[in-house]
Amino acid sequence: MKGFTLIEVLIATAIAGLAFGAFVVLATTAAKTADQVAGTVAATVAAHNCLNEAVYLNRSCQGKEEELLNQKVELNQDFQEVMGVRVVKVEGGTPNWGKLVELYEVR
Amino acid sequence: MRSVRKGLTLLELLLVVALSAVVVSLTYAFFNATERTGKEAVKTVEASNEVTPLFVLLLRDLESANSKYGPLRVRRGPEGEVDSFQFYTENCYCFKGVCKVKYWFLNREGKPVLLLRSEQRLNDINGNWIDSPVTTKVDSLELLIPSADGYKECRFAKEGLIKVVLKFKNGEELPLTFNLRG
Repeated sequence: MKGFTLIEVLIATAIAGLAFGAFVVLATTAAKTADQVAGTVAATVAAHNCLNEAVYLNRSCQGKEEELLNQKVELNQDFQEVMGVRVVKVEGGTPNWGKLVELYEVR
Repeated sequence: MRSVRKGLTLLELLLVVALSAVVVSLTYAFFNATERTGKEAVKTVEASNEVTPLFVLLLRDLESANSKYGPLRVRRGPEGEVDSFQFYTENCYCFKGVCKVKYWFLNREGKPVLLLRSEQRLNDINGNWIDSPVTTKVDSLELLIPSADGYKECRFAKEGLIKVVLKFKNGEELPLTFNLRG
C-alpha cells in the first residue's frame, strides 16, 4: 500500500492552512466592519442630537459619553469662527474606532 | 507463514488521543467564538439598518413641519403613553405641497404591532388617510420638549426642539432630537 510522501502531506497541510487563515481573516473583517457601521450610526445620531441641543438650547456636550444602540459614544464639541459666522462643530466616535463623524451647524 | 504487523504502543495511542482532544476543543472554541461574533455582527447590522431609515424619515418629516397650518399634537392614552402624534409637513409622499401626517400604532390584542405613517390631504373633509407601514420593531415612543431641567412630556409643539424617543421591542431606546422650524 502506497502512502503519501512527506512533501504531499506538507502541501496539503499548507493549502488547508491557507484556506483556514483566509476564512479567519474574512470573518474577522466582516465582524469589524459591522461594528464600525454600528458605531458610525450611533455616533451620527448622538452627534446630531448634541448639535441640536448645542445650537438651539445652548447645552454643551463637550466630553459627554452616551450609551446608544449598545455602543458607547464619545462626543466633543467645538466652536469655530468662519468669516464672522459662528460654526458649531460636534465630533462623535467610539472608544474602539476613535472619531467617526464630524457634524457642523451654522446659526 | 504468520505475518507480523506492528501496531501502536499504548503510549503512542494515548498521545494521539490527547492531541486529538486538544485539537477538537480548540477547533470547537474557535468556531463557537466565530459563530457568536457572526451572530452579534448580524444583530448589529440589523439594528443599524433599522435606525437609519427611521431617523431619515422622521428628520425629513419633522424638520419640514409647517406649523402655520397647526401645531404638532400628541394624543396620549390613559396612562400618558403616546397613542399617536400628528402635524403638518411639506414632506409629503402622496400629495403636493403641505399635508397632514400622523404616526400611530396598529394594535392587535392590546399590543402595538406596527408603527404606521399616514398622510392626509390638506383640505380633506372625508377623513381619508393614506397609510404606510414604518416598522414592526418599535413598540412605543415618547415625545418630549425642553424644560428648565431637561425635558418634559409634550402635548403640542409649534416650534423649537422636540425629542422623539423610540422604544424598541428588544428594550433599546433611541432618542432623536429635531428642530421644528415653525
